[in-house]
Amino acid sequence: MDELILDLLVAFLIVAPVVGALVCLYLRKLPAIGKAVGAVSVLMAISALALLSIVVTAGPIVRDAYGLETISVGITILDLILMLAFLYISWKAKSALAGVFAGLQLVVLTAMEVGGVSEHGAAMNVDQLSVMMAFITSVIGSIICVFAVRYMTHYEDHGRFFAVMLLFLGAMNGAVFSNNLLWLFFFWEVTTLCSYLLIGHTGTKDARRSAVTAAEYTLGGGLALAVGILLCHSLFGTVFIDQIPEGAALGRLAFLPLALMAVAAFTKSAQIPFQKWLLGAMVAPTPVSALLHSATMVNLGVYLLLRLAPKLQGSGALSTIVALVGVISFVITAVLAMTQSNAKRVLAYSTISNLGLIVACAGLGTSLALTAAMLLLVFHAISKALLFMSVGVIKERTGSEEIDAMEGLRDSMPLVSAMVLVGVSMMVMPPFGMFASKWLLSEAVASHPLIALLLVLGFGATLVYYAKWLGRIFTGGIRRDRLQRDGTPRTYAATLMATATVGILATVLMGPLLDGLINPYVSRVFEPALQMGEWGLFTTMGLFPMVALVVLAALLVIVVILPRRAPQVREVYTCGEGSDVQVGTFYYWTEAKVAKITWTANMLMALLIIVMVFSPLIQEVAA
Amino acid sequence: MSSSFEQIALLALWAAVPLLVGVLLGLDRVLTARLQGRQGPSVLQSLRDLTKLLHKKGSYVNGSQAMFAYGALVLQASAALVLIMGSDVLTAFLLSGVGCFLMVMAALSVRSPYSHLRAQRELVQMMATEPVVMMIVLSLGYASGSFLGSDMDEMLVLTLPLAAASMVPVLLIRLEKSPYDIATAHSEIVSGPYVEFSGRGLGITKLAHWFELAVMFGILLLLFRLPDPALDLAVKAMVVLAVVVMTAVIDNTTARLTRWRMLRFSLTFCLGAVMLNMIVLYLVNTGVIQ
Repeated sequence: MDELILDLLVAFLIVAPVVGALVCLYLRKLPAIGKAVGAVSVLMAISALALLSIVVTAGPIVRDAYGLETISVGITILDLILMLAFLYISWKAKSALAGVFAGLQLVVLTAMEVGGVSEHGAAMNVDQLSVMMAFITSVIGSIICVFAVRYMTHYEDHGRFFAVMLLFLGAMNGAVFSNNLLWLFFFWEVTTLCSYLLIGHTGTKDARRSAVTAAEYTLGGGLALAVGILLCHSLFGTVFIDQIPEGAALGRLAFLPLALMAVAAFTKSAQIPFQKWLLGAMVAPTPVSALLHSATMVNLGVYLLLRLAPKLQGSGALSTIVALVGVISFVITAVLAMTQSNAKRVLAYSTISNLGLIVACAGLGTSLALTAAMLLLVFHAISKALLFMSVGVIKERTGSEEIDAMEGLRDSMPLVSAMVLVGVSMMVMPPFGMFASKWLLSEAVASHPLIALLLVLGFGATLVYYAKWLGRIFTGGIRRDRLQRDGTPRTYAATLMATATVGILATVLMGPLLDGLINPYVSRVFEPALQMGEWGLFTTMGLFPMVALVVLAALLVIVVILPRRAPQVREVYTCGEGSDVQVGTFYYWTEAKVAKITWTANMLMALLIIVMVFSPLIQEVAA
Repeated sequence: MSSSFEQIALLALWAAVPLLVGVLLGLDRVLTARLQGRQGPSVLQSLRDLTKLLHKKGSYVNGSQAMFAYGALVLQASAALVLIMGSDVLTAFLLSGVGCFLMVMAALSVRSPYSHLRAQRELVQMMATEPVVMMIVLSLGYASGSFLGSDMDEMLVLTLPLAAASMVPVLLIRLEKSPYDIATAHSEIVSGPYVEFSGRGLGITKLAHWFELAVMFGILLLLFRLPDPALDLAVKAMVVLAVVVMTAVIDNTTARLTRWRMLRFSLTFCLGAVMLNMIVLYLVNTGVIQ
């Protein structure tokens, strides 16, 4: 009975969006599509919550491959169709690179299928990490889809658009539940296809070019994954993630498949030097950016790394390089974000930056780091969705995504400004989760001087770029007696507030989140290091009195601040020069310098990644 | 765990932070005056200024300005409390960092070029000091194996001498003194950093800054812990006095540098020094250096 419920819920999370996608294709008219998307969203959110509660109470559940052979065969066939589709796309887009990548994937896959793959193991693994990911995808992703129903009125071809959006969610859920690497690979490549279609949706020249770039990068990553799986199969004789032997048991060459999978993860998560596709993806409609950056796509890369983190234990050079790639991506993109004037670009850089942190955590591979990574993943997804959707609303109203054009939005769009404030607060302010994970991560790196150095530089830059953006939105003149009517459409207001609520709830429920999801996953490899006490979070090394701080802040506000009478309101003083003034901001570096730094960083990181991939080979030869 | 009496004493110390910092700043003003051959104000002048400001009504331009300024005060005061109670130093430092962030937001939330200029300069200062102090905090935690102030080793300055040395330029920057008085920069920014605040609002921002200074001094003093309470107090008082004298002398003998030179100096020499210290410690701990 339980098994049935479980299968049903998993099916809801993967199949329902696919069915929804087909319905969207059939309906074509936006109002009807809206209803379908709404229904699928509600179904997915409820299923995700139900699955979450099952796993939290009953522990992880595995589904044996026995009896699922038909699905395996189906996936193999779909894989082939997918590869052919990629070949067709690269032929049409005249991209030799994408064609080569897709072709090689096809060769690798065929080689594996011909050789025969042992299917004795758990096909699906619904554990704490997977349900956490599925929760992010299903809840945040659904909210973004509902948001898009209104936003996409300015665009055409709704049937295709929403079909791909929903398919994307289904593929994400499929990927995180798969324990069979071949299944994972299939879903992985479906997300590649979806991102290609969504980025190129508008069909403009820019959009098509960006879509092809994205396909090239991610297909390259897909190839690395395919070869990784092939090697995994030939070295360990298994394609099941949980059967891959753990770090210490591996030697030299055995790290090669893991290194290749790490490369695949870097491409999905747009780590330097693979960041170009994510920056180019900004041409897509805002809901697409929101989806790529928060609920899907980029999360898949870091998910794979977190999944493999136990296996990376004791891999020496490999895990160190993974950590370095992450932390260098973090600091460089954080610094570059300070130089950007377009809000979406700032957010794109900050996504790469934050994912870099998660990658670094996976590489560090300690209890504290792994906990921090999972917290980061949750809170980054929520706040990034909120920020991107807010930028979308602003763009719709003002027609601009430029930070300088957002001056004074607090007066004209108070609700959206408040949402941006909440989103940024989630990134930098206590007691929100990002702040907690920043604290946790800092503790985790205290014994790694080099990584600590890069980390502190990046944290400084992060505060700066958020201050610059938020500051522009909140730049205002004298207070009016009453705030202007906001006029934000109801769908937007509802989706924005829903996302903010999820973020606040996740913060309030951080204790259960730790006990129910994060610590059980961490405890499979390590002693859990972070606990929620009466007054806040504590580790063996320190204490973050989250609850105590909230109480203290509330007390200070009630006792000191509230009893005072509101002071007089006066026009801006500006040293007596009158209010006919303009304010600007600093962007520190020119675009040319940014390009130069990007180039240098790309070269450096490419070198680092080549070293990472070849280090197992070299070690093997040397031995 | 410290007794409840001790905790009450520490709470009292927290409540007295504005007094202590006020006297310290007053002392600095007297010293500066004497260095310049003036009589100067009394030691209590800074405190009197603050109480006067807090009793004035003052005015705001808009709600965000007030909200961010109060937010900054709440965060800095909480940070100081966390530090004084001997709790997590890292938490205290991060809270104080967000406090600075909110102060920048308060300056940006008014449509005034002077205010914005100040905010941008403050951002550069943050970039210059945040990484250095954070690195110092991390090395404190690494050296003692705990981030709890009450668990820190004694006289860490002996293991982390370069961290202590790096705190001097950082304090110069945070105290807004030359050669790094970028935020105030008296001559070219007309009326200094808090230009759009007046009366109580100005007092609030000052108070927030004082608590922030308390956090910075507190982190420095963690390097000078001693078991004997009387000796501990004496050493710490001497360190604070020495730093105040040092900053006053440096302030009066140097000309202002540009903010880029400040940034470069801080991120190369200061951060480099702390880093060097930490690497040496790391090598000693891992047994590379005997």
